[in-house]
Parts: sequence; C-alpha cells; structure tokens
Amino acid sequence: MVALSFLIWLPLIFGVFAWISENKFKSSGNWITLISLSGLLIFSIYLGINGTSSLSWEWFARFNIHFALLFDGLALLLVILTIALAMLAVLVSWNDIEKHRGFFHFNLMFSVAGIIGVFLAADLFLFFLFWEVMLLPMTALILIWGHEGRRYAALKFFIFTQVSSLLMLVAIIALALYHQDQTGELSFNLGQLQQLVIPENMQFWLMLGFFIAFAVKLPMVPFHSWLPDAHTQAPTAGSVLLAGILLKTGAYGLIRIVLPLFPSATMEFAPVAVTLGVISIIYGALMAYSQTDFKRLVAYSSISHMGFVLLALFSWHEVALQGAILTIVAHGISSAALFSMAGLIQHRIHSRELGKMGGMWASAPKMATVTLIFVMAGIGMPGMANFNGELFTLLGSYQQFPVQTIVASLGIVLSAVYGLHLFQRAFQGPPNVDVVDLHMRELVFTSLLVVALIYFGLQPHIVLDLSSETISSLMQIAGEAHP
Amino acid sequence: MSMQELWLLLPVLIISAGILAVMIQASWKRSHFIAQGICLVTLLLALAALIYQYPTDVKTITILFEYEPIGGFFSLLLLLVGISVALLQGPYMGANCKEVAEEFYLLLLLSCLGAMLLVMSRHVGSVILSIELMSLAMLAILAYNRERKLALEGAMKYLLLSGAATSLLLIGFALLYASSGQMMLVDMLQSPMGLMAKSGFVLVLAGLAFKLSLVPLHFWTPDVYQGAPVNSTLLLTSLSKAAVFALFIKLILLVPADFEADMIRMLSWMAIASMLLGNWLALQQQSLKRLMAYSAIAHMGYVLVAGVIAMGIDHSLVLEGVSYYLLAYLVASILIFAVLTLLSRLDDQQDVDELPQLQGLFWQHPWLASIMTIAFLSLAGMPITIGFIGKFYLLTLAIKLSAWWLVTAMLVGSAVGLYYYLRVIFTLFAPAKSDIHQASGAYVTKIWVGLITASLLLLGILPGLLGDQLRSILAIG
Repeated sequence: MVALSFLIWLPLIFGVFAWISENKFKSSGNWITLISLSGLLIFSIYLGINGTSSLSWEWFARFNIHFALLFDGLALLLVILTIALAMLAVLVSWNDIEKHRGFFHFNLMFSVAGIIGVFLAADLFLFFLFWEVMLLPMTALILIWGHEGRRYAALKFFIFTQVSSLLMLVAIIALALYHQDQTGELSFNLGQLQQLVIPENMQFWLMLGFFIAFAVKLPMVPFHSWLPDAHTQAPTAGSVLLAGILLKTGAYGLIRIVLPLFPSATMEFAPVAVTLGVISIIYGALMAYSQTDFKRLVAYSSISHMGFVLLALFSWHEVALQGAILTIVAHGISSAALFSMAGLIQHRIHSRELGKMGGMWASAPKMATVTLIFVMAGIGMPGMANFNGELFTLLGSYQQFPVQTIVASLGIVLSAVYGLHLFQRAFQGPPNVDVVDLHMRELVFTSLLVVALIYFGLQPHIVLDLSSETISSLMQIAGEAHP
Repeated sequence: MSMQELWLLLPVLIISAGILAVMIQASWKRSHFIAQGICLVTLLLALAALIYQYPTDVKTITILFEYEPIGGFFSLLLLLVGISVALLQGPYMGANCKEVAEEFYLLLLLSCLGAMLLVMSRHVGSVILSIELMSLAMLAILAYNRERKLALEGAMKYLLLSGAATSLLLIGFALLYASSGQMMLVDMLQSPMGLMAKSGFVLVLAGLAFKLSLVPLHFWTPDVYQGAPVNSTLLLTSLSKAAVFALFIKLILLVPADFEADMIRMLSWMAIASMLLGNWLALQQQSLKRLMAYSAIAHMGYVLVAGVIAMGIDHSLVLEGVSYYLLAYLVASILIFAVLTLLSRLDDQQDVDELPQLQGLFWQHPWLASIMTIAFLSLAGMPITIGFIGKFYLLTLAIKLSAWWLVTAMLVGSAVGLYYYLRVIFTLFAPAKSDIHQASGAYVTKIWVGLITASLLLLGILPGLLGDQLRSILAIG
C-alpha cells in the first residue's frame, strides 16, 4: 500500500514547506506545522481503520534489503501518540522560539518523520536507518534552541545513542548473515528472521547487541546519564518529543525485535534485565527527589517510569506486557505534559530552579490546578492513565519475579514523594514570584492533555485492543520457546 | 603495439594530448581561463572515452599495461577527482592571483595521467614510472604557492619521505626480481617465495603503505596536508590514495597461499593501528586539514580491513566493498575540501581551515555548511549518506569472516570518529562570530559540487542504484 509511505514523506515535505514559508511570512510556520500534523493525524487514523496494512519495495537487491513497512495496531497507537505529541510540541513553543524559526519547524517535522519510520519499519536495515536518522534533527533541536549547556548535552546525547546503535548494526548484520547460512539467502526482513532457529549461545550475543541499543534509549541504569542532560537542556518542544516518544522507541524495539527474535535468550537474561529495571525505578526516583531543577526532576522520574516498562517486558507475562504498553502511552502523555508545564513556567520566570518558584498558586491558580493533575497522573493516582499501567505491570511481574516486583512497588511510593515535593516547592508556600496565569492557547492544550490522561485512565481497553495482536503473538512465541 | 591496443589506451592518450595542448597554450598566450578550459575538456573527453569503451574483461596492452574492469572503475574515480580539482582551482585562485595559473593544470593532468597509468600497470617498470610521474607532479602542486612557508616545508617533507618510500619500493622489487627473475607482477609473485622474496614483498607494501599513510608510515601526513594549499591537499588525499590503493589491492590478491597467514597478521595490525591511532589523534585537532589528515589515516585503515579479508576469502563482495568505500571516502573528501577551497584564497598566507574561523558558517552560507555537514556525516557513517553504505559493506565482510578484532577496532574507531566529526558540525551551527567570505560567482564549480552532494545523498538513500550494478561493473562473480 503506497499510502503507507506517505506517513514518512509527508512530514518531511511539510517540514520543508514550513521552513520556506516561515522565512517569507513570519509565524506562518506554526500554523502550517500544526495543520499538517492534524492532517497527518486524521490520515493515520484513516489508515488504521482499514486494519493492518503493509508495503514492501525492492530497495537494495544486492543484500536483499527491502523498503518494508508494517502498520498494525501497536504501530498505529504509537504513530498517533507521536503526531499528537508533536502537535503539543508546536503548541507549547508557539512563541518560545526566537531565532531560526523556519529551521526549527523543519527539524521538528524531520524528527516526526524519523520516529514514525522507526515505528513502521519491518526490515531491520530500514529500522536502523530511521533509528539513526531521527537522531539528527533531535540533536539539532537541542544544539540550536537548547538552554545554557546545550552543546555538551547534544554531544552526549548523540554519542551515547550512536555508539550503542553501532552494536545493534553489528547484531543486525550478523543476524542477516546467519539467515544466509541457514537458508542460502541474506534477509533483513523481521518476519523472515523470526522463523530462524538460532543456537542459544549466538542468540545471547545477538540479543545483547540489540538490548544495549534499546536500553540506552529507554534509558536503563547504568546507560542513563545522557538523559538528564538532554532533557534539561533541550527546548520545551525537544523535551516533549524526547520524553514522550523517543524513549518509547527503545521499548518498542524491545517489543518488536528483542522479544520475538530471541525468546529463549531474553528469558535467560530476564533476571538481570528485570533487576536493572528495578534499580532504574528506585534510582530514578531517588535522584528525582534530590533535584532542584524542574526539568531535571521530571527527567529522572522518566528513568524511574521506564524502569517499569523494562520490568514488565522481561517478565513475559500477558498482564505485564499489557501494563508495559499502557505505561508507554500513559508516560508519553504525562511526562510530555509535565515538560510542557516546565516550559510554560520557564517562559514566564526564565528559570527552572524550584528555589526560585514557590507560592505560584496565588498568582496562577489555573496553572497550579493543571500541574497538580499532571503530577497526580505521574504518581499513579487511580483514574488516570499511569495507574493502570503500573498496576498491570506489578500484577503481571509479581507472578514471575516476586522479589523484584515488591521492591519495584516502592517506586510508586517514592514517586508520590518526589511528585508532591515538586508541586509543593513550585506552587505552595509563601508567594515567591508573580506569574501570569495560563492563556487561552495554553489552557486549551493543557486541558486536552488532562482529558487524555483521564480518558485513558478510564478506558484503557482502547490501548489494549490495539495492541492485543502483538501481545498474543508474543505470548505464543513465549509458549513455543518454553512450553 | 596493435591499433586495438592503442584504441584501448584512448583515455590516457587524450590526457597526454591535453598536456601538450596546455603546454603549447601556455607558451603562446597565457590565460587562466583557456588553460582551465582545455584541462576540463581533456578530462571530460577522457571520461567519455573511458565510459564508452568500459572494459568488461581483462585485456593486456603491451607488456606494461592491462585494461580491466576494476582498474576502469578506479580510473572513473580518478577522473572525477581530477575534474573537481580543476573546477575548484578557478575560484581558489581568483581573478588577480600572484601565482601563474596555467602550470597548475599541466601538473594536474600529469598527475592524473600517472594515477591512471598506475591503475593499469602490470609490470614493475610501469609501476615505478607511473607512481613517480604522479608523485613528482603532485609535489609541485603541493608547493604551488611559493610564498607560503608551511607549503614549502610540507612539500620538502613530502619530497624527502616520498623519495625514501620509492626507494623502499625499488629495493623491494629488486629483491623480488632477484629471487624470481620476473618483472611482471603476476609472474613475480607466483614463483616460489624464499625469505628474500618475502622481505622484498613486505618492502613493496611498505612503500605503498607510505603513500596510503597507514600506521606506522603515517608521520608525514598531517604536516603535508596542513601546509599544502587546500585544493592540492584535496588532490593528495583523493587521487594518490585511490590510485595507490588500486595497486595495493592488486598485489594483495596475488599473495601466494603459504605467505597469506603472515600477511594477514601484519596487515591486520596495520589496519587496527591506523583505525585507532588515526581517529585518536584527530580528536583534539583545531585545523581541519590536520583533522582530515588523521581521518584519512583512519579511513585507509578501514579500507585495509577489506584488503585483509580479500586474502582470507575469494569473494566478490570484497572488491565491491572496497570500491564502494573508496567512492564514499573520495566523494566526502572532495566535498569537504571543496567547501574549504571556496572559502579560501591561494594568495593568502593561510587557508581558512581553523575551526574557530568556520564558526557559524551555517547561518551565513547555509548551502556550503549543509554540504560540509552532509560530507562529515558521510565520513562518520550516518545512514542516508553513501558513507554508511560503505561502512555497511565493510562491516558485513568483517562479520562474515568472524574477524572480531577488526570489527571491534572499526566500532571503537567509528565511535571516536563520531566525536570529532560532530565537533566540526557543531561549530558550523554555533552562533556566528565573524563574517566569512566565500568565492563569488563560480557557478559552474558550485553546480558541480551540488551535483556531487546530490549523488552522495542519492547513493545513500538508494544504495541499490550502484550497489546492485557494482558486480557487473567490476565484472566479478
């Protein structure tokens, strides 16, 4: 289906268009980006309604590489999340970007195209290509429009993710060559590679190559150190995309590639991965508590939340896997929401330091209310999206790894500690600064976020329905690997 | 020599005719424009002749030369470089240059001639002659601005060390001749090898490794690169490397089986050392030319990986990998030096090549900066550039052979390389500090540079365009 590839081309084309147009007519870029993103959103939903679709073009015949895309429920879910958060990114930085606005829009759309490519790719070569390409605009966003320490942060971000993905490239090539050994033909196609029976020892090394690349992106302790810098220094739009979607590509890679291709290796590796996930949960939460920078605090909380995803995925339990996907969606929305609040506050008081805030409830009650809701969602209050994800995760993982899960549940307590700490220092206490309350535009998108959080909190089955196919096939693979 | 052999030599003959034409023109009426025109027409005609009668199998031309597909492909690359350098020299010299203009084109054609003959050589005599023809012409090009002290110093270093390398080559061939009694490369290496012949072969490879600036024979590279006028550096880094590598791989493929294990060990260490040391030393360079020198060392290390593997297995993928990688390296080098050339002037004491001088280039000259960014990303091996496909070929080869040491060195090298390439790119995007002037006009040159950039991206995005055909172009397998 040719239309599928438009999901990748269109953002690029609109990005260039917005760039040119912004240079001609000031602030037209915002509108073009926003309108084209809404168009894309409708388009992707339209494609999704028609059910699973795929596409495969000859691309590099010498290595039997195809331009192959697959658009199933899980991909649809994440593509919608991507586009929606990109719209949020545009809205939140409507007046924020002062220089090179056209180029900013181009980079934003370019990264959307790259991320959608990652979610759609059904050929490992293509997957790797998008995986790397989405880094470029993101690095540019941090480098050009970031805050004071942007150069260092961008460099660290780029090198961490690039170096880890080199390992993935080696694993991809080794896998394709193994396919050639077995069947006489090179193949990078995910579906074909899944048919392979790989010896245990080799499976482990291949799995490790992929796992490290995805663990850096997730990020998992001890590969997390790029994240606080990148998130803190990125402009608000960059932080929204980073926390909301880019981290999810790591989880997505685990779901799409590591688990189905190397089931027995992952099961053997699971105790290590789960332990590292639990360490991420606790470490992220403790570090978040000790931060005085609003964005840094939220960044560390992301590490903690993504630890839940890791825990869930490696538990190989149906309920836990559902929990992982719910957490992916919920954290995407809630962390993006918190980062946009950080952006709104920074736009007003030109600081992210919690010490310089305080008592903002008095002057900005609407902002305070909205932030309170986001914080509550982040700490997993029942009725909000994150609660379902965490509950499912713990419920599922407990049956496989009871000790680790008990420790992980401490993470929820700690999240309440740092979340309330954040809210209290920023909005309560004696008034420290006077801020302007939310404008109409800000009110609109923050309330949409609130609606989304509550909606997915009360109706998690939409997410579960979309991803049910993926999860059931994973469970089937698990059953075959360890009957 | 039959008519048919002469016909096969057509590209070389065209270049020779062009050399004479430039000479006559320079003595008759001095004009930069005409000389450049003749040079370009010559190179384009040679290119057309080469493409028209592109070899599909090996044809010998007298005892000295042979005409075969792999050499044909390398000749295409050489002509591509020659055309780029000739086009860039115009804006680089500017309208009122103190140096004479015509001789540059003469020397350029001479070194192209040497390089093309080297690629076609099958005899010791033709190897030595053509390598010297190329190197001597290049030497004069390296010191083309006689008022730059660094250029003279660099050229002097190159003269002395290159002389030493050629003598190594000569001694090596002499030893090989002494033990085999043959002067043809094929016969020479296929006769049984004693200790003398083996040491002779190692000396020959050492002489070539010097030209390729492989560790441990790399010491001249940074100084010469930095001293030379930037357009000459381009010629040095692309033309001589490509031509010498063609010979290098030809010799390696001829290594007899009983000598293979030793050669693999030796060359593996050279490759690993080049990749690691080259990238490592590039880390802290402020001068782009020095950085490119170390990066050239590293990249030659990468290509050598393929050379090492070529001995291990007889596989067509090796030659494809080498060709693709060298093409990628040449294209990226041409683009980076082209941007520097367009920003510099031959008359100045210094070229624009310090990193701080380039700060904020993107906001002043977005096209030039984008070209440079893309070229550096290609060198770093980012996808959607041709450099990634080259790296993909080499990695596939190394993994296929389970050469894990080479793979590790490649990965570490790439990771380190990423840092300094990124440093340059970040500098281009930093807030602008001072005004940077680029050569005005020169539209033909800029269109050419744009075309090369487009092909870099095109071959990166649609690798099949060339990759699927490469096998038949090289007529292997």
